[in-house]
Amino acid sequence: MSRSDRSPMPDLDDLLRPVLSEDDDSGELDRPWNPRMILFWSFFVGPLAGGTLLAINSRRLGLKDRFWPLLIGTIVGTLVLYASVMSAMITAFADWDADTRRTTGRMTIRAVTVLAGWLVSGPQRRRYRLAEAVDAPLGTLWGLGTLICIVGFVIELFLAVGIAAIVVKLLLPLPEAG
Amino acid sequence: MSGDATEGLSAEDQSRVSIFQKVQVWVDAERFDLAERTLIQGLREHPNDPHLHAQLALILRRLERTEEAESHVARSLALAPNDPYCLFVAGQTHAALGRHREAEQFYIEALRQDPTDAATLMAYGALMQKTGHLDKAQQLVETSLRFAPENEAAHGMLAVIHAERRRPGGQAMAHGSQSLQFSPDSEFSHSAMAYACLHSFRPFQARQHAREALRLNPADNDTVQLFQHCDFVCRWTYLPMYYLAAILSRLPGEQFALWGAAIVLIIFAPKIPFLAPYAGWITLSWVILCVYTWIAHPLTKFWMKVVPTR
Repeated sequence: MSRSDRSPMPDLDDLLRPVLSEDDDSGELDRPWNPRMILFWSFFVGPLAGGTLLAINSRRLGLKDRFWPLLIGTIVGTLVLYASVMSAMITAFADWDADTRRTTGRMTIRAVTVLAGWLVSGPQRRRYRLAEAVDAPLGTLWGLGTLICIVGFVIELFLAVGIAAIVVKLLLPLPEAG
Repeated sequence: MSGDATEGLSAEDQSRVSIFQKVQVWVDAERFDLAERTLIQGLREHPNDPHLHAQLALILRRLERTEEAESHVARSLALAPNDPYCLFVAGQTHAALGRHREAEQFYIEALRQDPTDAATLMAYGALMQKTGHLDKAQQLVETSLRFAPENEAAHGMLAVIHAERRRPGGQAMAHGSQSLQFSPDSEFSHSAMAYACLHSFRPFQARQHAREALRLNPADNDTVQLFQHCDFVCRWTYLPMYYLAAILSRLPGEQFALWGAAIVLIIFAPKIPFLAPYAGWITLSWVILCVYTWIAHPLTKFWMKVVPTR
């Protein structure tokens, strides 16, 4: 007899307490992307594209009410993340050399992107596991996913330059005339 | 038909028992069309028997005629709303249709009527496993084992649950072995053992069990897929990837742990005196590993096309 067979009998009320919600039903799965793969791609393409992919994926996974919160959260989060990391790099770490500041800033943004993505993609990971368990057709990120990544990456480049210019203008003192 | 089973029963009950026995014979032979015919004949004699409606619903589900199955489930519940078997069948039908929340309600209601029903405990456990509630799945299946200790399917299910939980201690292999011990010729026991081996760093043993499961039930699509998957991971182009993924799946953060550590190492190695001379090699190794992880899957897929699974 295995050890588990000798474990105490679980309380019947506990055992019969329902745990499933609408999110556990397998209807409305429309070729979802693997959320882990999205996190992987987010590291390279940044928070804007990664968050947009997660937002679109929430619809594919049937979590439709999470689309707008994720999309708006992505846009606001990207702006706040860039503004805070850049202002920190330009002001608080001004004594570091430019190369180290660039690398640290870039890596901080990527690390925060993956961490935030991991935190918000919990329900998606569960739904994706369910999609695999019920043999639902799965989607691939190549195609629409790649296009979103390229567009998001380009927008982020402009955004980074724009925010850097604003931060420099607002936070760094102007050189005195004469 | 056994004479003992029907002894002392009324003529009507004897007829019912006889119908269920015939149906069981057809189900065991996987002749669901004949089982359906027997049940329809039975319903002509006993149109208000809830169990006959419930049994027919199960058969119709196997024949993928879900709408008809649902109508018989509704009829059986209308005839016997608190009958544990009818509630169990309703749960099975809803679970098969992906309506897991409703399925859970039916299972709970069935267990409230009869908390010792091992089949319902198992079915509810399977639903919990499918939806990723592994703690509860384990509790339910372990409880079912108290009432049916030699149920090989329950041991097989526990092997799958422990394998998926990736906890050390060999529980998955132990339950897989017990399942095989109780039923050495069961396709499910071999499949469960293959699954347990796959998650216990034994890919070749997994392939062996998957092959045996396929030999026992060559028509089952899930078994074919399991064998193909086991064969896939046993190809030498994929073996390093299999071991890497199996190790990483046990780390907190899984592949992100390795990935984060590598990035940090690559960035800071040139700045750390004793690592600085090897910084280039560290980066090169990481790039080679990344390239391998990208190409391992398509390369093995290609190989599977050239040398198909036998």
